[in-house]
Amino acid sequence: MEKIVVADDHSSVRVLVEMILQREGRQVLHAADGEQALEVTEKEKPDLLILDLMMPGKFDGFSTLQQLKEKPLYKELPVLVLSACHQPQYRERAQSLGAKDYLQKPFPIDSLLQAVDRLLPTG
Amino acid sequence: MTLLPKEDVAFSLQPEPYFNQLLRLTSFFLLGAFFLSTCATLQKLLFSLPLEWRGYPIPLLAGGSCGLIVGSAVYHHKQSSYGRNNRNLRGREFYTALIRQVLQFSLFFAVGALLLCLLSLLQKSLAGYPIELRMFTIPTLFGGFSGVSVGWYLLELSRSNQYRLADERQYYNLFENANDMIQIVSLDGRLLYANKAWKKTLGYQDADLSQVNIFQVMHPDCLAETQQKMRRMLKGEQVERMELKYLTREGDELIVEGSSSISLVRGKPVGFRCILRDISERKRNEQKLKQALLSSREAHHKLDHLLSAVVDGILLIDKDRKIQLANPAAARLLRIKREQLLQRKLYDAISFLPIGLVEDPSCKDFILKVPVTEQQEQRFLHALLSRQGDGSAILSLHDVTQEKELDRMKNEFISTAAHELRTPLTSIMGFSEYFLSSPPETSEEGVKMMTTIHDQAQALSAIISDLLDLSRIESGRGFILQKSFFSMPQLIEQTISQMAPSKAHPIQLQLGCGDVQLSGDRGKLRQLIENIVGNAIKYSPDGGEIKVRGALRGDHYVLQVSDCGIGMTAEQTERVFEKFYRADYANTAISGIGLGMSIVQRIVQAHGGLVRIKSKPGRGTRVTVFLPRLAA
Repeated sequence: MEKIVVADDHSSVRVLVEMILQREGRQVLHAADGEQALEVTEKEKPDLLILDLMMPGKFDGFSTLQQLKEKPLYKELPVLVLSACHQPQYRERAQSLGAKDYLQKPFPIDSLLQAVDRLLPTG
Repeated sequence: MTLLPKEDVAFSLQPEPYFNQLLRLTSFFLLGAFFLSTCATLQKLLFSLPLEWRGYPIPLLAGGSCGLIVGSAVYHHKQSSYGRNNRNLRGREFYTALIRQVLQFSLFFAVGALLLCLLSLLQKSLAGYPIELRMFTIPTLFGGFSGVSVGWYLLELSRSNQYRLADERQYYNLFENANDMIQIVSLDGRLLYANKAWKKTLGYQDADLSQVNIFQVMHPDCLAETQQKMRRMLKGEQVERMELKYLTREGDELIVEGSSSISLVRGKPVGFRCILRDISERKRNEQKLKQALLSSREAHHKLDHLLSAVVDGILLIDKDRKIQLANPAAARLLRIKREQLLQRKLYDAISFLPIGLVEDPSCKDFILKVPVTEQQEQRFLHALLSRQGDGSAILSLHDVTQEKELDRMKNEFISTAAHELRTPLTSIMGFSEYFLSSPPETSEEGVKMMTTIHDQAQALSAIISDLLDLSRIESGRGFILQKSFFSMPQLIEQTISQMAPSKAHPIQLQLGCGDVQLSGDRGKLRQLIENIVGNAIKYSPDGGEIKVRGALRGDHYVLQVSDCGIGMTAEQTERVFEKFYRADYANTAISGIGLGMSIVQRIVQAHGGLVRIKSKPGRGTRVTVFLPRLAA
């Protein structure tokens, strides 16, 4: 069963994503900010990270992504950015930092599922 | 007509009285008579000759006429214009003239001698008087002298008259018709002569002149000065140029300018000659010019003042792209010294102005970026270009940095607002979609989902009311306070307990004892507390304690919220009440739309109170609100 980490400061969003993905048989782990996201990733070695950009605390989404990609171990970890920021420059910056996909909030359930399917290593 | 000594030609222009002429002729006659009587007395004494012929006193007659003639001749020889004319001769011409005179003299002498010989012969043949040897010399000498004199006199008379008349007429005409005013006054100021121009300018007739004293013609203002000058001239000083005020006969004031010198007669001063020119017109023009210059200077000053007072920068660029004018505001806005702008080429002086922009006819306005300096941030100027017909152009610069900043903040706000609105929307839409696609199996699960949807919808509503509050304030309607009496400590307690207290931020409440009833808008004050405490939480690290104190001080209820959060710099503190301002907008970690404190201030102002913020970066922030117990 693929492990997916959801990093978002809004618990309701985390719960929503968990509900959607659990229905599809994925295991979802929670992280309330960037720091927790890094911790959980380190500990659980997930197959996918769903990352919010605007998060309080030491690291926001961008710096979390940056730190993650600096570690050789997580270079290949696919990251799906899930953000309420719709400006193209955010998308560009996230992609330049190594995010595989960028999903805008609010999102239809299907598009999340498709993105997750696309990013998870097949088989 | 006689001529006066050469020192004063002008004096001779006055006709000599006949009486004077007669007096002089008589004096010559008497002188001659005296001379010949002496001769005759000597003759009689020495040679015992008779002095009478048939009762006529010969020596007396002869001597008288002789003296007259000699005197005239000598006088004329000395004074005639013929002699005067010759005085200017030089070299060969002089000698020719001298020889001619000698020849003439000899001729007259011979004629005279012949005449006297004839007289003697007649005397002898008619009266039988012998012409004695001893007597011979006397008649001959007399005759010679007489002849010379008569001839000389006649010649001189005709010749000198001719010359003199020509001379005098010329001089006279010259003086009389000169454009300048010419006057001769005696030492005591009597007017001796005045030419036409003088009379015309000052409005006098010939008949008046003899009554005129120059000190009456002069303006009283310059009397003392002129008299002093006259005294100085008499002492031998030279007065080069003078400017006087004259009065015309009608009393008009004239300004005259000219030179003066002393009239000498036989080396003695007798009066003053002046050549003057009416310069009133010139003076008036000078005055006008001065006035014009002054008023243009004044206009220039006014323009300068105006340009200095204008907040916008103004540059005047001539057709050669040189900066002709730059007001202080332009220098300030461009951050270039005025001296480095003026008279410099536009693109040299303003290095950050894109070359060719001013020449581009389609360019009417543009935004000019003034680069960052060590002390100052980038500045944006809106440049308006108005071209003049002659190829020059006026560039007016308006500082739009604030507008740009506001624009930036608005954009920031819109995206932040969108972000803040989308976050609850994500939950609402996601949960509802999930609910619809796969209805929950248990009602407990459904209630949970619906609660989340409801909570998020409420959060959405709160954000929207924040925005509405602000737009209502901005449109000038302000708050409409729904006033009521309520307990302030109770409100604070309630609000904080309902603010989903987090364990990360313990809140310490110090509200004292006793109830304080306040008049105000309960709802708005609740929002105020939420915003301030919310900020304290938002900008504090986990575990940071937040203190909320409330107490009544005098007529005011004082609410103080302090945190040990990230704090703000002085500049950030100053701007905290600006709408859309977020102390650290680059820090995406902190959510918020930047309206909180702006709304706080508006609420406090609506209640007639005050907000004060004290903050230090890294140490924390303290917000103090003073609310009057009875809101205005």
